[in-house]
Amino acid sequence: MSTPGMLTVEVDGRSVEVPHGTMVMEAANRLGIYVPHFCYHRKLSIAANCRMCLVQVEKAPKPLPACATPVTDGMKVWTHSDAARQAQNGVMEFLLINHPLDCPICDQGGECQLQDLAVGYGQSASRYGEPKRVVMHKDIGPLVGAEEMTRCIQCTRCIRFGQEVAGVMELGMIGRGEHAEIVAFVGRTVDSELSGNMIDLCPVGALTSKPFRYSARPWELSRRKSVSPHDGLGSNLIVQTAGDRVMRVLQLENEEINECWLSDRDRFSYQGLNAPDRLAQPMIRQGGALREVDWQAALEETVRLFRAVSEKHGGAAIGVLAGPGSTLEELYLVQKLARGLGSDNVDFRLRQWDFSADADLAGAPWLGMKVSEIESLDRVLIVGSFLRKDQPLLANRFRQAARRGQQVNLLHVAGDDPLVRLQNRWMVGPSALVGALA
Amino acid sequence: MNTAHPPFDPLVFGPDAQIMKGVDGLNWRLADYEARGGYRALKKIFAEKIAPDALIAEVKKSALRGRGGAGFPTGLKWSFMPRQFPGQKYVVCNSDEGEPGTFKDRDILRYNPHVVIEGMVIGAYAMGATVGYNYIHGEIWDVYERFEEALAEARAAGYLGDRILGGDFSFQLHAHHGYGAYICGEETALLESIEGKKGQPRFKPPFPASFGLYGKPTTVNNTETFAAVPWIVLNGGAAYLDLGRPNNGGTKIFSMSGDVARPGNYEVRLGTPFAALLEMAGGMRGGRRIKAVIPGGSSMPVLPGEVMMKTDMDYDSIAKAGSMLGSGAVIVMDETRCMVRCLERLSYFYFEESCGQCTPCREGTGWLYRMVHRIETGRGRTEDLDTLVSVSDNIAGRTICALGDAAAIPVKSFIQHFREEFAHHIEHKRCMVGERGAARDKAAA
Repeated sequence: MSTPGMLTVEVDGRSVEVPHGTMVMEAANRLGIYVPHFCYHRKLSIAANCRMCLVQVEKAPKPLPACATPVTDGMKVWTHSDAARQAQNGVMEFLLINHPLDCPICDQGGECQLQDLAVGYGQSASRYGEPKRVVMHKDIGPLVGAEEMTRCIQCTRCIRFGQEVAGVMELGMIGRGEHAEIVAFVGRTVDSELSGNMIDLCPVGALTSKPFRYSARPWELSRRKSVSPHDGLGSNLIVQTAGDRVMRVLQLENEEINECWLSDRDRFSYQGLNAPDRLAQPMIRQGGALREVDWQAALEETVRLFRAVSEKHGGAAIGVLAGPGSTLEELYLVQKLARGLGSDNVDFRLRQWDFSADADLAGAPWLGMKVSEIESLDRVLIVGSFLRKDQPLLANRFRQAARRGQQVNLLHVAGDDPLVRLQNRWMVGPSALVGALA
Repeated sequence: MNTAHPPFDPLVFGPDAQIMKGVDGLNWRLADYEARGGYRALKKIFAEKIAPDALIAEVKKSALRGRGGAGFPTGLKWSFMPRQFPGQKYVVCNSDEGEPGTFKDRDILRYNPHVVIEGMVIGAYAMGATVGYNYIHGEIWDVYERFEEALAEARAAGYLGDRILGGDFSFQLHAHHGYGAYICGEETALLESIEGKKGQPRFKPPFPASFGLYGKPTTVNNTETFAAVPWIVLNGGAAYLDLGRPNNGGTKIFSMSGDVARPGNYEVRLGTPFAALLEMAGGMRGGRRIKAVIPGGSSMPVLPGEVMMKTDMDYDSIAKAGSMLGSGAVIVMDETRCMVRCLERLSYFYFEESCGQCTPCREGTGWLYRMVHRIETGRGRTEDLDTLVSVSDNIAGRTICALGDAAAIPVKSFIQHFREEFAHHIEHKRCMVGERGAARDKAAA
């Protein structure tokens, strides 16, 4: 018997209790049972259009999509029975008939959901001998590549991402039947500050990363965990490198911070590391001209200069300004170095002029709660923030919470649209901001 | 619309016609409808203060089944609408008649629009809905315009709008002109289309009765279903049931097309033998032999002519014979028809009309069409027939809506009943039958 308010479902012979409204897919996942799928994504609405997750359900005359079938009490599901496998194999065959066999030159190769599942559910040879569909490529901007839209399997994850997460529908589906295709609005590009996530979401090689295109195979790359320096959120990253060169940056899932998303700034700014005009060697200014030197010479010169100042004026005459985008660890080392030199003059607030409130601050200023707890607030007042550009993923938290009833209010100096449903918005001149708050 | 033509014989739809009784092609206006006894059912409901529940019970008793294709009991469908729902409820009329072979709703709306309006007002009253829409097929603009005129007449006469007939019940009915997509005849795609979205079916559950138009409880019925309601209210459910057969109440309009002498709409009692219906349509054109019949619209299984000649036209009899009554579109094919060519045409339709939302239908309908097209054009392969059946099986029952099944059923039934014709086509690269095959034989000789 089920616990009151819970439903018991049996998946592949194993029982699990789930709350009302749980879909078969989630129930199976709780048991660690994988149901093949393409269109389903736990952060997006249910579309049930790929049909890959068809499973056998007791008393149901037809196979049902696990992603869209709500659990009922006592339901029995088989995800890998003959009937289920037959349905899944059938869908896989349909997905492959018009999919180009260009895996060897596809950027998604090696991390492609279709490729992976075709191993389990596809046939080695196709029964389809008719002409294949061709879909024209699209130019939707410098970041997201839609160069091979023939690969698209119309799962609509990218469309739903735009509508539901990015807050603006920039991709849509035109045409019907076999002629259905994903396009941006006529003549427009995808401009969302979260657009790169569509690359991650795309289960095939239709939407790929333009900067990364044709530069490496995923299995050639090493993975390093990192934290984004680009905003106050600290999104978790995976930096992928080949040798000492950063090839691309991906999201590292952290439900407490960035969930499974990444802002475009975090994802694509690695290109700056490899930019030709980047300073790659230390330089010393001698007689007004900069001269490239090796690290040993540069460090020796630095020590000489510090020592000269310290001997003449004392350590306190030295001040250290650190970049605010540095990590806590880096900042810790900077202050340790400064104190070693005999100086307490360390700061990272490079753009702040007025420090008169310092005396009133106790401890480090911070949000006062976890990032993930923001969504549980009833009411929020956002003051003077270009939220979408300043903290793209925080904006998404508010967007989701507002949809669930959180009242988001904005007091701002410009008509910037945060793409969040606002309860109230006030626009005032910058000089009137304090007055309006009072 | 051109109304210059002379009136036609009111008996053209058959002697037992109820919906089309007394209709002569010109007498569609409100005054004509009232002269035929129109809106008496509505007046009776308000005069006798018939409760909504009693109306639903009467419709249940009549055994009226949905005339759009699925044949779902109408009274039962009406009873699914939540009675005490605090918000807006809707009734929607599905006049998006797109099934090849079906042209009955067009004639009802063209020649007798007020019977649909009256049926919808009664339905809305029975289900407690205050707003309704009639979604009219994209290709019949003249019919849409006429329906708008009829709505204006009904509003002016107090049969529609605020405080109908001076009572407490108000109902706002709007006509909505579609853009000609077959898929919008699927009820949830139709609702999406009314909402201004792309006409693509929703997955179910939830069904429209709990989550319909704009997310509110909604009942969608076919035009002919609503048109049958006033008669039931006036004469009683039992009398309606008596017109037909048990579980198959009333009369039904059959759209007779294909190789018959007088194609057109014929309204007959359910249970009428197919042979009698064929006789009404003037029999086979040119006196040729009947070969095959699709009894319920192109998405229903085809049956050999000799089977149909022994079958009666009602839901249960046709189901027993191995097909479905569907929307009542009877497509008759004579001995000169090439079954491969017929199937090619049907498969092209479903390929063209697939909405592209879900995989099996989007990919499979094109595959089916291309294979049949190859066979028809003399490039068939022996394994094609088994592949056709297997691909059909992989589409049917695996899709969001019934279009997948609709595309698969003709393929399977044509091959089931006429396999030798397909095999002949593949082997000899030409028709086994038909004028073109004969002509080619002659040329070869």
